[in-house]
Amino acid sequence: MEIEHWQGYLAMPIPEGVVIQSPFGLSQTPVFGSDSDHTTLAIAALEYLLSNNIDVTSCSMPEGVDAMAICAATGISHDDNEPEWNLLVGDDALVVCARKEVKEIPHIDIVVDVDSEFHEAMREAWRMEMEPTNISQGAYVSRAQYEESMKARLGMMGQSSDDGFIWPPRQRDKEGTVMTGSPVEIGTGGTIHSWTTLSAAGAPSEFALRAPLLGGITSALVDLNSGPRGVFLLVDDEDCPLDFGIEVELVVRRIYAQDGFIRYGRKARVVQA
Amino acid sequence: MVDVAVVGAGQTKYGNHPLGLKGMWSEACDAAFTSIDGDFSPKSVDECIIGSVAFGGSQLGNTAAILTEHSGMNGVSTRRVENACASSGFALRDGVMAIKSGHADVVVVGGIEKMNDLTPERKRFWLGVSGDTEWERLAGLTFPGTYAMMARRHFHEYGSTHDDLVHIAVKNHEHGSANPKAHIQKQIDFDKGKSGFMIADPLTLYDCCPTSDGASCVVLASSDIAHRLTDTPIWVQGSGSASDYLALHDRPSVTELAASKIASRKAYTAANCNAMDIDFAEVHDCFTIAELMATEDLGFVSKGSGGEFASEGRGRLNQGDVTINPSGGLKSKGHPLGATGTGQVVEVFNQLRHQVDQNRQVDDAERALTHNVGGSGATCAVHIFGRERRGN
Repeated sequence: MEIEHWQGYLAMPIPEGVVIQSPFGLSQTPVFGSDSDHTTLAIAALEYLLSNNIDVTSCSMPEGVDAMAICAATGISHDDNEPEWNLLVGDDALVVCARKEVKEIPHIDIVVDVDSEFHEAMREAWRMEMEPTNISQGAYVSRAQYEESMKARLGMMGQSSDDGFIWPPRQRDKEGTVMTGSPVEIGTGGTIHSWTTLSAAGAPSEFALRAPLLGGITSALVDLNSGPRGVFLLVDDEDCPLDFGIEVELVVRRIYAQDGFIRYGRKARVVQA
Repeated sequence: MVDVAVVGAGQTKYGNHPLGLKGMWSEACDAAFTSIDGDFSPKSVDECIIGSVAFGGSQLGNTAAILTEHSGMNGVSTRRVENACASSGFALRDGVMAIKSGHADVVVVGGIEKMNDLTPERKRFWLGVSGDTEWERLAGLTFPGTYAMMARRHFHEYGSTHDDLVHIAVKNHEHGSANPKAHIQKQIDFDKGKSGFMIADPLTLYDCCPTSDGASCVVLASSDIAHRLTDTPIWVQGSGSASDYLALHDRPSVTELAASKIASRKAYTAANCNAMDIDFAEVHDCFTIAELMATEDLGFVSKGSGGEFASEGRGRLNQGDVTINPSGGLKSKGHPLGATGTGQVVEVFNQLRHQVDQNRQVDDAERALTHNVGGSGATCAVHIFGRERRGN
């Protein structure tokens, strides 16, 4: 089977389905990258199918994935009773999305061996971040506020106005007119308008546990191909020299955890020529 | 027409202050009240308006009431104004409007912030609370990151360089080194300014203002009674303010602050003057790139020429077209968020009365401007002051 690179993961089409696996591994076992989990892999799997013009309207979702995030990102519905498609996850960093029953989950060869100490430190940081006692003492995005903007944040749903597309969605346009009308897809392609790498000391406290391990965090102002501008964390940017106007795609990854739940969002990933 | 005068102004030293909110505010009020030449009683104050972000949350509610109580103004009508780092710039504007409307004759405006009594962990939670929490903060941005993106884009569009920013840092440290109220009274040379560790690429340590404790207090009086309180009032000749999109990504341009441009135009119009009439300016240099953009947005130089203005030293004390930040600015004098706006007025008051030490006095200072920005530019208040009662 042919292996494709997809949204920073490895994709392997199978009969009536796809396997999405993390490119990272430890002792030949696939492990998650620093901001991935089964939910982000599942979203990548469904977006892979959708991008190949495969009709996916409903899917079963096992325990351990954030069904609300998956639905918000992909627009498909969650159906565990009579699903068209099944999402399968195991202990390893891979997911299978298939129309038929899959008897044996194939593994893809590991591309990148990760440093075990770094991997363990990152796992521990996420574990600590997920503690219910890890709460905000200042700026705060509540669950309700996060969920209100989920379709915009994960599904890149925006608005249409006489002056073009608007994203993130607004209550009113720049003339003060109340925004009405159905949400529109803004798309996930763009180019870099500006960027910065914040040192661990300069990063928001929400990233305090992981930023030192990553050597800081990089954010970019992105000109979306559809017109609006947005700001996004970068992902998989370790070996990517950044420049004005270079192309990025927006992929779903973990952002941070607080109050015992993970906030997901789109991150910008440089599209390699 | 009622005009407004500054008849007294004072502040604490900025930096790591040993006192808490009540003590700092009391100290700033004492400095302001004793600077008034004539008889003055805090009980004669009609309104007291205090700017504060309430950083750290030690007194989030009823901040103004407890401070008024501890400064001899118990019973006076009071409130807190919050517009991020521009809180007291807007407190000043509210005070000016209260007098101009005829509802008040004497108004105390000021600001306060206690930032350095927090644990590092708690401080990190509070830094950046004034950005767009839902979108910018979730994208990992605090203000160093926001201004770093502006800087990088300015370099790209206009050819300005990080060296230009270093010149701003060196100048402001030089100015601040002579200011006894400054947080950092230390000069740096160009090489030192270039050698700071990276905070948010391309901004380094020396591009960023410190987090400071401090309080500042300004006493405003109507033209009807100003001369009873002092022989040398400093007149508020113009006041302008504006707002802009909070998030950087919603703005058409990230190489300028639209709120600064609009607020300054309003202030110039009210004062019947323009940028060329200003002898010195206290501008909001939370980051060096912010000063570079301010020189452009306020009209001291044309768009894109801010870097050249900085590197040629044209904002240095008494050496260029207009002295920029004779106090040392936020970069050296310090930035106790809520106190910064009226702290700028303290410098203006003393400079225009020719009462600062000679080695840092702006020559022949007749007219000055203050520029106070909230966060990354969502709010801005600009005021113009003069020794003469009205503009040209």
